[in-house]
Amino acid sequence: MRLVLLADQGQPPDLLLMRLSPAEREQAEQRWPAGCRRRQFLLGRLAAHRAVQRLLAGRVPPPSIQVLSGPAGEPRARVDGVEGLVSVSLAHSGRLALACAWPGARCHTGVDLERVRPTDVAHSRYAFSRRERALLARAPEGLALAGLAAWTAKEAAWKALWPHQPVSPAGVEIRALDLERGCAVVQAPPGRSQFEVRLGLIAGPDGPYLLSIAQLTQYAAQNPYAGDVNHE
Amino acid sequence: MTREEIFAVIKANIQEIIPGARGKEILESNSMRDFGADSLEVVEVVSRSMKQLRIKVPRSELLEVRDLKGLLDVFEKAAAQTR
Repeated sequence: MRLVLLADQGQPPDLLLMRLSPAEREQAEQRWPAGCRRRQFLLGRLAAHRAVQRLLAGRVPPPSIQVLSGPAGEPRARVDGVEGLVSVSLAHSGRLALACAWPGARCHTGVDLERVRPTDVAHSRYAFSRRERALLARAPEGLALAGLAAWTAKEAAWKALWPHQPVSPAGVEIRALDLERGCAVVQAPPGRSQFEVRLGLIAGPDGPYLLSIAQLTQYAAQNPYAGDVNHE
Repeated sequence: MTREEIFAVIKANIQEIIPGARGKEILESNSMRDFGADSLEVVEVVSRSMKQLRIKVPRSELLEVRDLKGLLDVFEKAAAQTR
């Protein structure tokens, strides 16, 4: 598994676009013809490319890698036009993008990234069940940070459930949260799959960010945030 | 409270919270994802709208909502029950 964290260095969008394949450029143009979401989308795709390149240890030239959006927006990696050799999960927020690549077609990992910002998500009865809100209220780091961290953990686990996801990340449940140790446990119906989530708080170019990586399997990375921050 | 009044509250929050929705027409058939909403923004729109409308919606119903029409349906039902 390879993780890549990429920072937006303010390059013109055309320069970012040039690094993508024609099919990826077409998706970007259709989905985000302009605006900040366009930059985030492009940065996410480039981070995913980088993660796939690293996973394949440079054995495949960059033009052979494509990361296209599936029908529900899920990222689908192709190597030399073949889907299923490599899987990716990606996230973007603010001026950072995070991508994770692993071999094979099976989805068991998900990542999420959120710039730390004022939010009252911890109070939301939609986002969190009563039991989850009680858990957040006990977090020594405070309700705001605990709420944001818990939401990133839920979203990462939700992505890892593809294609059998609940409608929203709110539909999976935090069972344990320890921000000091950087870990959480998330459970997902209907099979009650359990995810171990690693959480990290890092300094980004415009303030702190929360990262999460959820894994269904037992080989959770010891240090999932060892991927480089690439300043391009 | 009419369906139109409920939708007006939701639309105002979408315009304020989701940058990609500003200046765009918002229809019942849209999903907040159509405007590039991230998951946290969706939570903020739903939570703020419920607070402003002073309604309580069972979480189990909210978790099944896929688009604005679905959100309006559950909000309208909750508003009718709080009358």
